[in-house]
Amino acid sequence: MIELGHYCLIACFLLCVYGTVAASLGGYRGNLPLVRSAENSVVGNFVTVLVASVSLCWLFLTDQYQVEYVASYSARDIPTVYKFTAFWGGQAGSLLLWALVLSSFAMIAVLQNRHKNRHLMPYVTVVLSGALTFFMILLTFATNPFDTLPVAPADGQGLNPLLQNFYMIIHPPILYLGYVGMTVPFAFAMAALMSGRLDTSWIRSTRRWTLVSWVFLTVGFTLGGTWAYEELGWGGYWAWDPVENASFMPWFFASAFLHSVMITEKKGMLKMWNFILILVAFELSIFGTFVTRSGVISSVHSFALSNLGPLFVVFLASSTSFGLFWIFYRSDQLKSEQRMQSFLSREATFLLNNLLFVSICFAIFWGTVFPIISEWVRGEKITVGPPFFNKVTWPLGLALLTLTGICPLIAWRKATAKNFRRNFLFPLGGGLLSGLIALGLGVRLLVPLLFYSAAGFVVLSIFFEFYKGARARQVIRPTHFLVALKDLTLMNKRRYGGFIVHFGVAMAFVGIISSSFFSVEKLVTLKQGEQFELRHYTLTFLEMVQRSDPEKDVVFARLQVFQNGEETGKLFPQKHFHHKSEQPMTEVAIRSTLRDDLYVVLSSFDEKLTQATFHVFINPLVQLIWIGIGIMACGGIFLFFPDKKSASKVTALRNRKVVRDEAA
Amino acid sequence: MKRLSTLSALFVWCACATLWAQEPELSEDEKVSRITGNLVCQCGCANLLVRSCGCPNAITVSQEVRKLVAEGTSEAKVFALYEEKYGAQVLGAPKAEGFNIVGWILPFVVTGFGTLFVVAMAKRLKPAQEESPETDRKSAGISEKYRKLLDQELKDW
Repeated sequence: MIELGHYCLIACFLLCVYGTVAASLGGYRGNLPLVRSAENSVVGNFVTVLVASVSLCWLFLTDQYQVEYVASYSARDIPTVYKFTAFWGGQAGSLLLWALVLSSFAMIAVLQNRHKNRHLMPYVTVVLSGALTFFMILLTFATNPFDTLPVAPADGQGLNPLLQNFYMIIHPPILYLGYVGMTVPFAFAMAALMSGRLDTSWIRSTRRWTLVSWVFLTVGFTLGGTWAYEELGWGGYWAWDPVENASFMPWFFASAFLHSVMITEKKGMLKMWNFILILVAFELSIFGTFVTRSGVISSVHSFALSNLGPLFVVFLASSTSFGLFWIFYRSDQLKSEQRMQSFLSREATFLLNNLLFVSICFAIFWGTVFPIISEWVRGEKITVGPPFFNKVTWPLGLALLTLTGICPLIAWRKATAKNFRRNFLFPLGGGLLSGLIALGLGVRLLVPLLFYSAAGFVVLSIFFEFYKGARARQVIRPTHFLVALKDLTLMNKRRYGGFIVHFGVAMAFVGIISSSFFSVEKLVTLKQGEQFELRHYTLTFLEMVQRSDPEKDVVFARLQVFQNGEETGKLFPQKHFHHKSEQPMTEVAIRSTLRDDLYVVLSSFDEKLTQATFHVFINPLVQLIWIGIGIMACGGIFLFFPDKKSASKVTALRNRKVVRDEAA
Repeated sequence: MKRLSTLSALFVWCACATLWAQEPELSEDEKVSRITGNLVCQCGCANLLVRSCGCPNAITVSQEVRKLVAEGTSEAKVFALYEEKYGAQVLGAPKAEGFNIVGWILPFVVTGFGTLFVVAMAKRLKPAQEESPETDRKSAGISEKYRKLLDQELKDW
């Protein structure tokens, strides 16, 4: 299996090189057989990487500790599911997972386009094979997961206990699907530039890929946040860590692209901008993995210092130069077909929305790299942590949330006073009302109040649009309101799916703002039988219990929880002492309701187990974040499916088919 | 438009009223939480704030901060004490002075320039006019070659 995996990696590397060269020559000379051969090599890439991946899995599952990578990230006593997930627990395996996802996406893209987009496909194959070549160079020459040890140890070092968690089973693969998914739109964009076919066909081919990538990124970083919240025990879900930031940045550009393509398709504007967005989104996805592996920026998520940093820098520099060259080369053909007619138009608000996505991304990027720049300039180490990011991003986030409500309501070309009156009055009143409700509930801070008002405005604008659309449909085709609403939504998924996403965004914003501004925490030391209060919760420390299993020793506290004086259950915050790890692991106890999360961490305890220190947090409306992001992902999936055709369209299509059949 | 103006004015009024009403008197717990939420734990746990980090070092610092707050030490003084002890990296965000100002303002400068760009684009307004059939064809993605072919076919037909 070791040899099989190793030779498969070499075979894949050779196939990638062949695919890149053959597709380049085939595209340049218009040699179809050569292009087909290159496309077949893409299928070969997938098969070889798949066999290598299955080999590595087999080595993990059968405890083959003569393989250095297996010995470093697995052990005999860890559960089988974690032996499987140890595959991507380290650097080499995670790169192999990247290569597996990339090769499978490349294969799907090639097979999907066997009979369409033929003018683009040679160049798409060049870019996809070229990108995979880079990862195969890393896997074959720099960090081979099949390297063996001179002497096989009796047991492995085991997987980091922090990674032995349900979210770590699915978080990395899903995030990788998002990151790697950005390569396909990049390949189509580059293919459009290289072939000079700059109509909207490349956009039609890539919008869904970008959407897929966007959904996976959204779900991926949310799972990461959930893991941090439930496993790391610091009371929050987002620490603005460089690696978290890196995972977030391509998402902003993908979001901006998904908005700007609408302007391109409808108005023929922002053509060059779309290419830039896709180029930067792709580069940021590579930058994310560079940050994780280079050791340039200190992060809790970083792999050990490795020699891969310079290789990533070379790849980033060369792919950026390649993309910029082609954009510059075709710049004459990328001019907008129309100009904006008014600042008060949907085109302008979409442009502003793009600007805000890019600005927030820049703010995050800038905050991530500023410690390095500052150290170069001043020679002094500084920290750019959550206080910086929170202060810098909230004004931009508020503007973005407000635009989320404005964009769909404002008219194309030029908004008139009548348009404003007809579309904005009701949602604006809703925004004002939500602000007043928040005031009535005791909110006295300006920033949350503005966010609640903006969220209310967005939600009301969405409901108003659904209502107006359904009523209009009832006029055309008398039916029940809910049927009209269903038909309306299914027949224009792009518009109404977008509204579903926006609704999720507003919910998530309310959750984020509430948990950021109104959470409370307290560090408290209690003896057995003592209790303490925090807001409407009272906690009684009943006892400490100790138990052991073959893998670890566990110490946990039993806490009785009372809410407004009524008993609501027990919580068991724990400390795990894994036999193969020096650091004790915290297992948080969380009592979640829609209103708030009671979050208890067992910080320390005395040797007699009679006294313990607890770190207790009350985080309001955290559940809204998960629900909101879930709605966003569902909206994204909904957008993916084609529109249901109206009855008249179906009849027309059927008639056309009958005519064609008769003619035949 | 009148109703819209009234609503907007009311909204602005509410925002201003809230601005004046903010900064309520903080309890000792809230002051400690705010300070520890702006100090970085120096235990090596990569940029976790003292408020969030559950390590023994963070517990010690939290207790020190509570003691200082109880003694009436101001927030600025607490930060200065810790900066003196650990250096500037103990602060969760760089102080807005010297080169750090670039760090704070650049994201807003970029956004500002971007907004100016959008406004400049809107200033080069095209006079409002009905879209010509030519524009419609272009926006429908029909190339010149196919347009000619279509015209020819229509003519022949």
